[in-house]
Amino acid sequence: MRRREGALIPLEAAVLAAGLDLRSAGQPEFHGFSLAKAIRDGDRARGLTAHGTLYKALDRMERAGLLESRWEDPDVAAEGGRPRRRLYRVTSTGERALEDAQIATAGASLVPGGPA
Amino acid sequence: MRSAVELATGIVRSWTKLYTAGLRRPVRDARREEIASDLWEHAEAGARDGIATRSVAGQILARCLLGIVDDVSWRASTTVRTKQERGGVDMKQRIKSDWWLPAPLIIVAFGVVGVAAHATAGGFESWWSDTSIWNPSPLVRAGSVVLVATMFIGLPSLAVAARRSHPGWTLVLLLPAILVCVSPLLWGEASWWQLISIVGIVALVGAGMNLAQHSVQEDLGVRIAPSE
Repeated sequence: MRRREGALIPLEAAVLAAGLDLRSAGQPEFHGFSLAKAIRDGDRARGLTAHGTLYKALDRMERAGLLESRWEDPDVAAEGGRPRRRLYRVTSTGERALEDAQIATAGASLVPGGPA
Repeated sequence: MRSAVELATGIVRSWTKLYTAGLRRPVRDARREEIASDLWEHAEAGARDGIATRSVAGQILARCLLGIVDDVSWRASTTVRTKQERGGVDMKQRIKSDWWLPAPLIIVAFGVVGVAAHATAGGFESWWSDTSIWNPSPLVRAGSVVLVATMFIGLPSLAVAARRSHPGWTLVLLLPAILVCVSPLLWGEASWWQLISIVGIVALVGAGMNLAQHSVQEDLGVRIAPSE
C-alpha cells in the first residue's frame, strides 16, 4: 500500500491503538503475540495478525520512532520457563501519530464520499 | 494432539530459519527469537483457553502462510538496508572494479556454443565453415566435449565465482581459456575470430587488475568480503 509521508497505514494505527489500550489496562509494555491478540480482541482485525505482517510492521514502526523495544531479562524468562520476550512500548511520537491519524480520519468522514 | 502444535511450530521455525539465513547475526537472531517467543505464547494461550490443539496448529500455520509475502519483502529490504549501511551498493565503484567481468562471461557463452557444436556436430569448424570434416569416434567426441566444457565453461565460471575471495585463482583458472582465445592472433588473419582474442586479452587484463587490487587492499588491511 502506497501512503503519504508520515501517514499511518491501518495496521500501524491498530498496533498503536492496541498498545495504548494495553497501557490503559496496566500493561505499558507488550510482546508480539499479546499485541496480535489485543488487535484481534479490539475487533480491529478478524484473526490474529500474520507473523510476517506483524513483525515487519513492528520493525518499521520502531525505526520510525513510533515504538521502542527492549529484550526481557533472560532470568525472568527462565523463571517462567519460556523464551524471552521482546517488549514494545508506544512512544510519545507514536501517540501523536495516532492522534493525527484519528483526526485525519474523522475529518475525512465529514467530507461527502469520505470514509464513514 | 500436542504433536500437531509442535509440527506447526517446527514448520514456522524452519521457514524463519530459511528467510533469515545469511543476514547479520544480531538481526537474524532477533527475528528468530521473536518468532520463537510468539509461537510459545500462542501455544500456551491456546492450552490456557482450552482451544483444541488442531485449531491452534491451524492458526499458527495460517499466520505463517499469510505473512510469507511480508517475510520475503522484509528480508529483501533488510538486505538492502544492511548493504547501504556498509556502503556496499556503490555502482560506480562496482563498475570500476568489475568492468572486465563481461569478458569471462563471453568466454563461458562461447564455451556453451562450443560444447553444443562438439556434442552434436563437427566441433568449432562445422558451425562456421565447411573447410574440414570432423568425424570422430564416440570416445573422442566425448573427450572433446569434456575438454571444451572444462576449458571454456568450468574454469572461467569458477574464476568468476572466486574473483573476490581468491583473485590469484581467478587468473590461474582463466588462463587456459585466455590462451586459447588469444591463439587466433597467431593465424594473422583479420576475421571475426580476432574478436575472441580481444575478449581473451580483456579477461587477462581484468583478472590481473583484480589480483593487483586485492594485493593493495591486503596491504591496507581492507577486508574484501566481510564475514558478516
